Amino acid sequence: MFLSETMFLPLILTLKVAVLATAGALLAGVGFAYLLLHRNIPGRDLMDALLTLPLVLPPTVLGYYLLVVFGRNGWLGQWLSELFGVSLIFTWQGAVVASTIVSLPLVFKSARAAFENVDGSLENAARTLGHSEWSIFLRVSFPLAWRGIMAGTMLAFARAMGEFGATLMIAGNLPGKTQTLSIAVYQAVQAGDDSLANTLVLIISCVSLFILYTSGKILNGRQAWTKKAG
Amino acid sequence: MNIDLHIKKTMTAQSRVFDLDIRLQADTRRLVLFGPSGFGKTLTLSAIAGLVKPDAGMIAFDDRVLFDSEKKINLPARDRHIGYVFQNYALFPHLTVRENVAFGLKKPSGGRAAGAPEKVEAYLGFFGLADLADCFPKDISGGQSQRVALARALIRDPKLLLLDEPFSALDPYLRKKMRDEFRSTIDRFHIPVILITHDFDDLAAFADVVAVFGEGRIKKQITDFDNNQSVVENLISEIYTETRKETDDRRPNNETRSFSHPGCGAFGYRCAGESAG
Repeated sequence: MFLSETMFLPLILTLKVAVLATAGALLAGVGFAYLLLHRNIPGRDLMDALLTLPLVLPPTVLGYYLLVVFGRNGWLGQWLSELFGVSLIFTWQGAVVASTIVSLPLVFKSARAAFENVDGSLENAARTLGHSEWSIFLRVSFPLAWRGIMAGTMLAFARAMGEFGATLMIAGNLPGKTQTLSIAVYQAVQAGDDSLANTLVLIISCVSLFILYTSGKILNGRQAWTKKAG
Repeated sequence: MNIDLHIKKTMTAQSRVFDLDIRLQADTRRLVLFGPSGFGKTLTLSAIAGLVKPDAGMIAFDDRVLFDSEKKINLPARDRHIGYVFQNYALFPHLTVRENVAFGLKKPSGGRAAGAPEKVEAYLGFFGLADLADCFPKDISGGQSQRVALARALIRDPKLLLLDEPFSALDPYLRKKMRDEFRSTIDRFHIPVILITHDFDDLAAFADVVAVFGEGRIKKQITDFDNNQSVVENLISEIYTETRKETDDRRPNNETRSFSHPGCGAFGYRCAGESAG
């Protein structure tokens, strides 16, 4: 009975939300980082600041923004419910959106730094060799920036695993439905259930440590082209 | 080849405004852009390659218009079929020598052009790179890096080859050897070249037409270099005297760039035994 339903469901939900949120943050973070660096987009500095904002704003403030945007009277919320008849409020999908936005700056910042480190003459060389911008991204920029991007993604995953404030604001605390591990810990402590809290804390700590350790190991494995021969 | 260009471009970097205004018309197979660093030679070359867009003007090569600001023509670099050998060679560090050479043969769709593998092996052999085909750029010497860069550019059968100080990253002994080797290669491939240099030996070895650069302008264009060497020499000493102070100010910047080149440190190193798959 170690993994009873009260522990198992939050763990599965947390992993599901974290994986999806990390995927979203990875796509958006890499996309924005590359475009802001390579295209002359007006208001580039403002975009940069906006994409970094979730890192410094309190999660409850972000959650409030999300409620305003996705709530029944919010412009996106209204649009979603009119067109698809869905609402993100009090759903696990809402938790995914919250975690994505909270972890986005971690991917964005590291991807941007990684792309900046790629020697521009390599991208120019690829241009003179007949490659399109998309092909250059796939064959030159991304492979060379890969490590930095993965390091940021790892942090984003860890951040999404531990997301609390914004998730609570938009998805609430519905056991078995939107109750993630961090929220379950809070509730267990509030209810004075110390043994449940201890177990949950142990689970989240072990899972996070395992993920950070293994991904760190993979990342630090040297690639053939950076290893000095001989 | 017949190259005809007049371009204008204003660059601002750290409160210094650089004003490029180049007019150049030449009918030759070997054009050398000569002058001190920081006078816009690389900028001119980048504009011909399509890597930098001029503010105004036009660039035509053998009756093909590559750029015309009035007619709103700006052919992207990938469609110009112009080979470019960068000053630091710009070899892809994550690809082997073979993959570097083959890089330009990939069709935009991702598939390989017909006969590509055979052509790659033939070029590796011609440039003496067969033993190094599986090495990564960090494991080969400066001279070998230059051959890879040259093979990578020439394998696409470009209509024109641009070279930005191709020998400046090499040590003096190797410089002479590679210069001779390179001279026979371009003769073999019958390809017109535009070469940038601030080394008089390069001029003597390659030049047919010389465009001597002043700051952002072409100070003088000299056709038939072989019979006008003394004119060029006088002109050059004049320019260097005029701009000695400014050149000294800029030089450190330029030299950091040549030293950061990836393959230089491992001169003479061969990694033929190692296959890093």
